[in-house]
Amino acid sequence: MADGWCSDNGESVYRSRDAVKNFRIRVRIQRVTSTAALSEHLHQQVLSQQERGVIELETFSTQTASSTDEEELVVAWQEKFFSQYEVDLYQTESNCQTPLERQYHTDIMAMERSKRRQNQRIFTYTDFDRFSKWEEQAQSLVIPAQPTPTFLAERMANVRHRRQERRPAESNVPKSRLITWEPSEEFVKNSHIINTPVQTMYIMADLGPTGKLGLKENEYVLCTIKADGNGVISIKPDFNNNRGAYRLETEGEKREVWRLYLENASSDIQAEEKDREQRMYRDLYTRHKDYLNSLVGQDFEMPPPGILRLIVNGEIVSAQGYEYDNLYVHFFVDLPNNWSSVSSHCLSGVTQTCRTRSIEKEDVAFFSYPFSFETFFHKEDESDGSLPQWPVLYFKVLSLDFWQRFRTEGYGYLVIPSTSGRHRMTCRTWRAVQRGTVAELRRFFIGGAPELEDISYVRIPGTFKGERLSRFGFRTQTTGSVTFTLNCIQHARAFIDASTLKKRRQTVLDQLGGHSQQGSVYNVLEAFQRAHKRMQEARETLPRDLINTSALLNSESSA
Amino acid sequence: MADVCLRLQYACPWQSNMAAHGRQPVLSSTPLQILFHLNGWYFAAFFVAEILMFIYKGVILPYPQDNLILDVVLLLLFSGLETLRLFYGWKGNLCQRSLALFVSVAILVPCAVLSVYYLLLQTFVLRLEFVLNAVLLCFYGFELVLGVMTISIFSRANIY
Repeated sequence: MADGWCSDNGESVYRSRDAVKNFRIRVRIQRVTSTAALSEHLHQQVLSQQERGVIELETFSTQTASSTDEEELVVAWQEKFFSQYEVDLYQTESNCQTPLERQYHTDIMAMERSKRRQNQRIFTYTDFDRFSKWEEQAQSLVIPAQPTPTFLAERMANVRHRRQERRPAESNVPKSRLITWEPSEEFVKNSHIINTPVQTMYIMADLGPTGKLGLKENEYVLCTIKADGNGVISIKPDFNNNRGAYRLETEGEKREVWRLYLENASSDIQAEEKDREQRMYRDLYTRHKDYLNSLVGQDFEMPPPGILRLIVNGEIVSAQGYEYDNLYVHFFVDLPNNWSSVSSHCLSGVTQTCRTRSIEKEDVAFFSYPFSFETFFHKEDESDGSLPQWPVLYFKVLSLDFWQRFRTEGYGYLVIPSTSGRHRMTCRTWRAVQRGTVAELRRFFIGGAPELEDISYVRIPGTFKGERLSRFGFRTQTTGSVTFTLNCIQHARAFIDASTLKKRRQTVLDQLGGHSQQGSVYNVLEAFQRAHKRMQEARETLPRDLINTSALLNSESSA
Repeated sequence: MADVCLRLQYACPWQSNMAAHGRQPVLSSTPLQILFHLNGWYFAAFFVAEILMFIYKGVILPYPQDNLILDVVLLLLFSGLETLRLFYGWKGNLCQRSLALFVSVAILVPCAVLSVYYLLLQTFVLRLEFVLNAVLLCFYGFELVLGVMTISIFSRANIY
């Protein structure tokens, strides 16, 4: 009797990816008291007394054997097995009040007609049963552990209680008391606690004496199974798994002891079903990936070969150190040879009029004027030995007074940097002055001032053709400065070729020249130049008469 | 020998296009603007001096009450007309408007009449008043001549 009892009856938690409806558990109970011996003794007495009636003895022995209490049952998730008490209760239709109970009535009547009842003692309470609410509060009768319910367990029990009380088919919602202005503690306890939705199932056993099944007080909880929507399954107590059996002891004067076995009877998934499921998941992920790709697209715009694309996002930050107030800046971008621009882009602009304020003894006008432009460089003539030029930003600062008279405050220019990235630079300006005080009087009273007709004279004028630029006689006066911020982006196909060939890039333009279609033409021209030079050197070293002879030979060949 | 390919031109208010060529020269008259500037300050000093002199003459000399009130009211009218004339002259010259400058020259006539009144026809004429009004009349003379010249320059120019 004391062999191999398992005293560890704690709860065990499992996580499953499979649906909980595939859950199976095999429950087996076995009586292990002296009552079995007593039954055997009675059996022998009957056999010894009446030896003539074979049929009666067989019937009696069969009945005794069937009441030799051992039962095994495989229970699925939320599968309803009726106890004797429930069969007696739901046979009468007047006891059925809810649709579930009427369904039970129909099932019991069908089962009675078909005579195919599978269980005698073991039965189940599912999550929808009416008896689930107070059965949870009843303690498990595994004797070695009798825990006292904690405060949390009581409140969680009330949570279960709350859900059962709110069955809509059973009760009507009172419309006159939608809002409870002074909730009692019981109301708060029943209504305000948030709970994770958990489905519960009880595997019960009717451990009454043989032939006296159906009494409520003989029902005992064998196993409690809970599962939530996240695939977490908790079983109390756990499966036996080759350990000893659990010990069940009944109350009353007989004090019977039962042996309990719990075994996992869930079957594994089939191979072809598993392949089908994996294929379905793979197709789902592939379709989702294709959808995302269709949203993003795969086109990355690339300039044509041999072309450098320059994108500049700039800002005129401020102007400082000027004489008059209400400043504004005229600016435009001058493109040298071989540079072109998109026709829709505007390469010039004018800022707003800005009043100055004194910062550290200097008058500063903050424009914060953003501008952007996009240009393309395409070097067609490779033989030209001139250095490539970068675009230049010319600007002039003017001031405006009350009478809408403006004065030229300063001229300046800014060469676009040849490297990409963020650049912040300050350009100093000057203005043209005329000799004498008459010009100053005119500037003060009228607002007229000497003004450059061609603003590119600030650097190198476009109409300049000579080799030396002289500015003798041109008078200027130093004025303030303008601060710019430029963000340059350079985009060219040669960059990919450079990175692929793992060559070091000296300059962007060398890479453009080296990897364009004109590169081969340039090589041919260079070879031609070298051959021409060698021929000239050879001609110089030859004597004069030999040259005449070769000329005569040429004339003969042409004839 | 200076090889400067540069041609200086003067700023024009109505042309903000940088690519424009053949811009109009500045037609405003600098001497006229200087005269307006100086006349503004001079008339302010003249007004203060006249007020003080009227207070002095009212206290010291046996000034008739009606004549004193008339002279002070005429002085206030004089200051209003002078302010209006200076404003229109200033605006006409700087904005190159012939009409405004013409209005300024037109208002010059009653201002001159009032100045002659204070020069000769007051009840009591001090020597300082004589000198101040004489200088003011000189201003008016120069402004009249320069104003007429500037109006003719504005009218002859093709402004578009």
